[in-house]
Amino acid sequence: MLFNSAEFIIFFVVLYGLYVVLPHRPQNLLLLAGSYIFYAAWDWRFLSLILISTVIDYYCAHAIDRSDMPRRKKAFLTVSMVSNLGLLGIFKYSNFFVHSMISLLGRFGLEVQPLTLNIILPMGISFYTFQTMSYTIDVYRGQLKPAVNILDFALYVTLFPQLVAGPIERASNLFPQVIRPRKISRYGITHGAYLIFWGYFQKVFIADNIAPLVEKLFEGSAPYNGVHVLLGLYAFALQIYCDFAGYSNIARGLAFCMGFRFMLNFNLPYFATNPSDFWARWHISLSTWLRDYLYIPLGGNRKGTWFTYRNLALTMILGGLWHGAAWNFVLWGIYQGILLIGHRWYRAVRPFVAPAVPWKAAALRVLHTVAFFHLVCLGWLLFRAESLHQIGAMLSALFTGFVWPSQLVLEHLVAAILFFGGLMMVIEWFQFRSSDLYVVLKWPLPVRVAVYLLMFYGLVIFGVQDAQSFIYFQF
Amino acid sequence: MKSRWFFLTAGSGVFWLLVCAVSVETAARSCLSPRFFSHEMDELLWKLEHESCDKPVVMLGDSVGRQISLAMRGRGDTYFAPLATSAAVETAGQYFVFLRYLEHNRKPDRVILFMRNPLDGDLRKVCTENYVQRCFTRWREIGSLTWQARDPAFGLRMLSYRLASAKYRLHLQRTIPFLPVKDSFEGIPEDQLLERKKSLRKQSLKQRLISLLLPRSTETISEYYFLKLLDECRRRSIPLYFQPTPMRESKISTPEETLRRKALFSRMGELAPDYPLFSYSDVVKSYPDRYFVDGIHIQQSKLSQVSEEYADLMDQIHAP
Repeated sequence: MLFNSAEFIIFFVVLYGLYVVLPHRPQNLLLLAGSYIFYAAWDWRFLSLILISTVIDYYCAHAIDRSDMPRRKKAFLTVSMVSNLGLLGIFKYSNFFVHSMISLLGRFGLEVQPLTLNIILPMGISFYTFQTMSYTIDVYRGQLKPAVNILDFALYVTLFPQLVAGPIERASNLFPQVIRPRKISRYGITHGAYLIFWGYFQKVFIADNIAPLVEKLFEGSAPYNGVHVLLGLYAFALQIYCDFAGYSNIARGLAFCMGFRFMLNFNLPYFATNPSDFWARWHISLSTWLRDYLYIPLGGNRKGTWFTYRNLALTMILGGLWHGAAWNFVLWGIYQGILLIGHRWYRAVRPFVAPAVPWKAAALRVLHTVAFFHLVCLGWLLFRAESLHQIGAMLSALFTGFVWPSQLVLEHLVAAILFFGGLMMVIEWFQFRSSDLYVVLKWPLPVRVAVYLLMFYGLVIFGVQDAQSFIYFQF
Repeated sequence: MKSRWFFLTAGSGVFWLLVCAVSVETAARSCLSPRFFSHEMDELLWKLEHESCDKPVVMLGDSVGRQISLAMRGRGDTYFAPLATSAAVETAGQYFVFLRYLEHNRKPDRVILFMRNPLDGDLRKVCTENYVQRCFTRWREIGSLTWQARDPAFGLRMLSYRLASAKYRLHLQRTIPFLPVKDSFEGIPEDQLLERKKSLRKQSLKQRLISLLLPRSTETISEYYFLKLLDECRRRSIPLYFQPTPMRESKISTPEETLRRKALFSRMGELAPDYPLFSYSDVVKSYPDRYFVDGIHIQQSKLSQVSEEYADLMDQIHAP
């Protein structure tokens, strides 16, 4: 069941109607049942994986909490980690590793019969696995008391708005909201409704309309035209952002309406001026997860410069691999690691001093933003490309194959990007300038209604009606 | 003061959005509908609404029925109103077209249903959205079709097409010159078609559950609307005649086709005693494969011969 399908709208309306009239405990049971139905609508068989993960983590967390012996605590933590990562490994990475191994042995002249596992990737497995892992680790660290009621814990794992594509909620944030009565306020409803509307606009109007342009570029074969590749990367940058941020906004909006507060997952990432800034704005729930449960336990920046660089590289490579079992994601992780290390090294050598003159400071910021946006786009090429060969061909076109395309092609691509992305770019600029993601809600009524009307007709007339999957479901 | 100006304060944007959208839609409905048609169903429904089609005989049916009936009219047979359109609308569409015909025209002396199989179809075809959900958007039609489909999402999609801007979105998209227009109403790419058909045929867990909880009184949705059509004709004392459309010679003798025909005429035989004004032909004409352009529709060059044969047949039975 996709957020942008008629089935989901009816599902949510019915569920919400019941939700608002029920007291807290039945509300939780309703949400749990609704979440299982939501997931089962995709494939009921994979509910078993969520149930296994839920039961193991629930009991491991209790065993960790009850135990006084550090070794015993560690043993139960290991059980939890091995089972979660084991499921992830089998369902997400086994084919990748098998094929990579066969390919590697092939290079040494050893022929191995391919083992075809044909495993389906369960939707959202990376999201709920990371979520349950964070719970057990927090209990192990003594930062969280384990859940008393297994149904509450099951709801924390499966709460439908964030089940299949995040945000990856921390138990410390979400769990107290599950066990305590929630208040449905006017603030929550207005802000939630706005986020849902904005999310649908990003997904259905922008991402789904831009998708065919991007597909056309990446389905094509070499030789590529550098201008096409560049415009295609701009289009993909828009598509992946609107697809994922759109999902996160809808998820946060639904949660808002039900009295939950999910963490912010995207904070105007294309306004970032450097890699550290970007990762503080892009997929925040993943980047903070990686920071807290991988980078810092590896030693963070506490053991000297080279260890810091190593930890950054390892974290980003694993972060890349989290996105998918393919070498291009590993490359993307390496690239992000290099950017972070390069930025850290450069700032150590030349600390940033903002110009005293305001216009100079503003101009420098614009310059940094534009330059860094192009570095991000280069990363998206690694992320989206369908083979290593394609990456090479496109990079070569980008740097050596700039041929001015026909006016028609140029107008077609540029116009489509501006037409579909224009309104969002303007609104995001106001959001950035005011440092307020809800700035639209504070605009004078006529302006607000005009913006809503544009968004509404964008959805009705240009919205792609065949519900398209969200890109991040595959992760 | 606060309550007096409630609709002008924060949070009322949605209210004014609705007001503006209703105004825009009202204006759009009046200026868009006569100007833009997407296919034969749109044209027919507009015609039924705005023009008189009064004839002694009404001919409903699928696209082959439409081909033959239009050729018959070309030959000078004008005693019938050619309301045959497409198999995509299934029997549900035939029923609603007939009801709309009755709104602005006199009661006909006879109805001919000229199609392949009026009992086949569950509104799950690839083109159901374009031909049924987008076209039959009156409240009664939405209610009836949604209930028969046992799917609120089906009805929600129909509701969205009550907006003129949604109904004519393809036309509106084309008015912006530089945009690539996806022909969302006019077909699905060949490579996706087979996949989509397969997925539509597969009964999901949800559908199986629904059919268990809310069982239908009839085998298919088309059969339900066929019975509704028979009921309507009986209530108004209008004879209804079912004439099957022709087929390829290579197809007609296949085991599955023979089985399908047997089931169809056995059901027709069961229904006939309950509906004295209902009659049917149990002869399915067949022609050599070269008479057909795509396995279903008749070659333009052979159409006059085929239509002549059918005209003679119908003249004997139906001509006033």
